[in-house]
Amino acid sequence: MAPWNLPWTTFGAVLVVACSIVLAVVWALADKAHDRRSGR
Amino acid sequence: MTVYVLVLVVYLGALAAVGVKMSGRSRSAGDFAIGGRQVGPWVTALSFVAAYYSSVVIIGGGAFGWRYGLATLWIGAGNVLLGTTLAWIVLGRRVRRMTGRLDAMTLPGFFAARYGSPQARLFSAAVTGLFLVVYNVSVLKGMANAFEVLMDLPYWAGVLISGVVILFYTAVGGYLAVVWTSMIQAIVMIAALLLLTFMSLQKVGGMAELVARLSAVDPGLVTTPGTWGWAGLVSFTLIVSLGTWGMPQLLVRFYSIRDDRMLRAGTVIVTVGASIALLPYLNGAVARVLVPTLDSADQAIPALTQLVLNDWGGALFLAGVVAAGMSTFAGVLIIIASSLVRDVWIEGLGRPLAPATELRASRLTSLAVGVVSLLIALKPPALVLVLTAFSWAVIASTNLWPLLFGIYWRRTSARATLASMVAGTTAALLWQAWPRLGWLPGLPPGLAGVHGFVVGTAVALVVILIGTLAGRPAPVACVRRAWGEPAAGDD
Repeated sequence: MAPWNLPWTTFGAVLVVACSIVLAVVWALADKAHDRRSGR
Repeated sequence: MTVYVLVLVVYLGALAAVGVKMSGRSRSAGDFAIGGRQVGPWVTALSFVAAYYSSVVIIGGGAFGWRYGLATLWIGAGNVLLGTTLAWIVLGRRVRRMTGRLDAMTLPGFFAARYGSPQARLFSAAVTGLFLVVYNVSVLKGMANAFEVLMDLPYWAGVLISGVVILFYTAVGGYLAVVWTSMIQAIVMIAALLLLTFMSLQKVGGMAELVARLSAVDPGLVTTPGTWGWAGLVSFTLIVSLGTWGMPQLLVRFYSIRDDRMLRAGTVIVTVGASIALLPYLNGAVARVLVPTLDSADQAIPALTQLVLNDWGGALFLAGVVAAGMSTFAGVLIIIASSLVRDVWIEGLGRPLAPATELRASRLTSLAVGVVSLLIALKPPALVLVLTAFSWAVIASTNLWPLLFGIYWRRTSARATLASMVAGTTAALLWQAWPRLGWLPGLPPGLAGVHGFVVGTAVALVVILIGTLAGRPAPVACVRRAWGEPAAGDD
């Protein structure tokens, strides 16, 4: 069982939201680095 | 009641003041429609959240949570990942750059310039305009229902109070007033939802206790897909998540943001802000435990609010619901007005206007469209109520693929784009109307729960793919301009 005794299939929704925030931060950093390399 | 009135007067007064302040900064039709492409990341991101989540999402999301339980958290997760983060990453930069190069201020205007197809512009403007008015009626209705339940005001008074304030600041201040008021509205909405969630979880005894008590009512309220089933859950999640990719009032945020740096910061801010999407569904599930008997599931959130919040909290929550509706309504008004003036009048009918006249015409049109929506919302005809259920499906089926293909695939054919718009719209409408058409055979049980959005976008995708592979690409000059390359003669 996942936290709060939720099934993992339902708790997955919370994980997806957390992963979305991580994805946004990682993409922003990668995009910034890409722009710097290409001299923009 | 005094507290409610006080909070609302201060809140609505502040919104009107923002409209007046921004009126001086809207000096051209470009300022009115897209804020002169100079809007910062916080305002863009938070106004996106406010325009995305209308009062329908808060009240309707709570109703879904109450009826189907915690599996509906997946709808919120879809809104965050697909509807927000990926939309910003996949569409943001290209839409910003291409609309800038093509000098397009509206989505139909982008289609015309990208594909060299005035027909695509007119079709998209007509379908989008018509169904956005219908959508606006449902948003006004949601706000008026909140006034009805939480303040005991008559329905018509709720429609008039919210409608008049929105019309004032939108017509006076244009896009800048809409995004700045939307940012304030997003903050109010986030604060209201966080307060309600904190208080309702405390009342029920915490998250683990909520899960235990929901399981005792029905184990299907805790599992996924639970009592709803896959067809309903997945197709509804897709429509309210992927649907945003074709919604002009959300896409316009990409036209108006200042530069790529702002877009990166905006992507992080918007993702964090959009995370509140989980809360209406969670609160709906809490309401199932705390207020198990209701006349209608739509009463779940208002009833929970009355149970767990005091007058100040209730007033803040009402302000949050009204905020959600207002920001959506105002964003849609700007889109319809700019589209009618620019795409239909100036470009479609070939009636050029001087810049000052175009600005005045945009203001008057937003006012006129708003008044029409308001009058319809006072006593919505049955047909309008039926159409609201699939306004998103139709708009997304029309715009989604022509936009996505237009910014990524140079070869995309103009004729295939138009055919995809027509086929997608027809398929979405036909599918939604199917159960009401007695002369057609009934749908198999497995397909009956599939939303028209899925069918409309699937048909539109097949048509644009096949049409592009078999047909001629859009004119080279349009493609080169969109991609920022010199015209063929300049090489």
